[in-house]
Amino acid sequence: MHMEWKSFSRRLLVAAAGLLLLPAGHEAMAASLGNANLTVTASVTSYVSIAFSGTNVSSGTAGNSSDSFTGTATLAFGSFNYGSSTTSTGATVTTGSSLGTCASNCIEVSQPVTLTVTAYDLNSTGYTISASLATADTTNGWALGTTSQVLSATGTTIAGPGQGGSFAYNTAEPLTVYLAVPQANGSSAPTSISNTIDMVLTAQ
Amino acid sequence: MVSFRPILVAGLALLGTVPARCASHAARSGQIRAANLAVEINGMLSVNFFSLADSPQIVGAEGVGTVDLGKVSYAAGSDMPGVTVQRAQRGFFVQTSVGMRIGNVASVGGETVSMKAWLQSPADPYRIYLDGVELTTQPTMVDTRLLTGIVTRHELRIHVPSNTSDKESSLQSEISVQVVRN
Repeated sequence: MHMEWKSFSRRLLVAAAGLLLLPAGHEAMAASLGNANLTVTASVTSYVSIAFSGTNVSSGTAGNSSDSFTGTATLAFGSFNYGSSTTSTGATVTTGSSLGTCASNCIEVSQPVTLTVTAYDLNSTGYTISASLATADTTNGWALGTTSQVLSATGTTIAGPGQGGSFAYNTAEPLTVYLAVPQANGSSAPTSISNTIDMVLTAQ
Repeated sequence: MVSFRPILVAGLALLGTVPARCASHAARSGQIRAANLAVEINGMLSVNFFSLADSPQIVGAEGVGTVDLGKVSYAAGSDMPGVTVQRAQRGFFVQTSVGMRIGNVASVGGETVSMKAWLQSPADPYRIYLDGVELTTQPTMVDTRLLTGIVTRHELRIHVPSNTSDKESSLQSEISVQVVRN
């Protein structure tokens, strides 16, 4: 009887303690938490450009933060005619062309231009170059680097010496610009030819 | 032989006082709760994000926010007001500030909460810091004494490593925060 009373009194004490603890525990549970989510977005961009140099190449701009990172330059072939070995500015002239753009004989003018990738962001392992003509030319043929890399109004990938045909940062690479002009039978009037080669750099 | 009768009596006496003590406690805490009612919605502390005068716009609603840091670059920095770019050896940091308010203006002054934060998913290759604490997918303590009822300034910092800075890529990361009343 004494033990039963002891056990009962213990249970009662536990119950009493529980009643005392419950309000405090309940308050701790309520209104103590808060959650929120913040979505952060950003677009990480790069700025790379090409600087041009070489014989008959005007300096233009190298591409920097004040001109939207677009390098520009002008290559002047000068004047030439059938039978010349060089143009008036010293570019090479050959009769015939391997560009495959002429139905009959061509006069081909070529001139190396040095390209240097100037990156204003941090270095990538290399950059690929895609080149295209700003204005489609159905008469004359244009090529860059090799005669097989014929340019059109759509992009042509220009092979570089680096891995995967890439161009390394800050390394000067000579690329020859080819212009194939079909012979104009019976025409003696001088013809002016001009176009713009657009190049797009993509980081590897 | 120990008699438990006195203890039982004491326990019963204690039980007898419980309602009175609870009522008394409720009456006291009721004064606090009256002020806290606006803070607590369904038993939760409200957490809201705010744009600061010198930070980009934060859009969202109760408990959610979105901040667009715009275009960032090692070379050109940022074109977004309130976003700065700090160049580093192996990349760059994008920095901005966000405002956060725990509870509302009616909340009791001087109350503090602890804040943990984490990322909903890994942000690789980016590293995201909130108030100088790098966030991972595991909850990490960011602040142990954050005041309620006022808009507090928090620094958001993102490290962009060099191997991504040359490529255009988008960053989107969701930061979760949880606050617990101290």
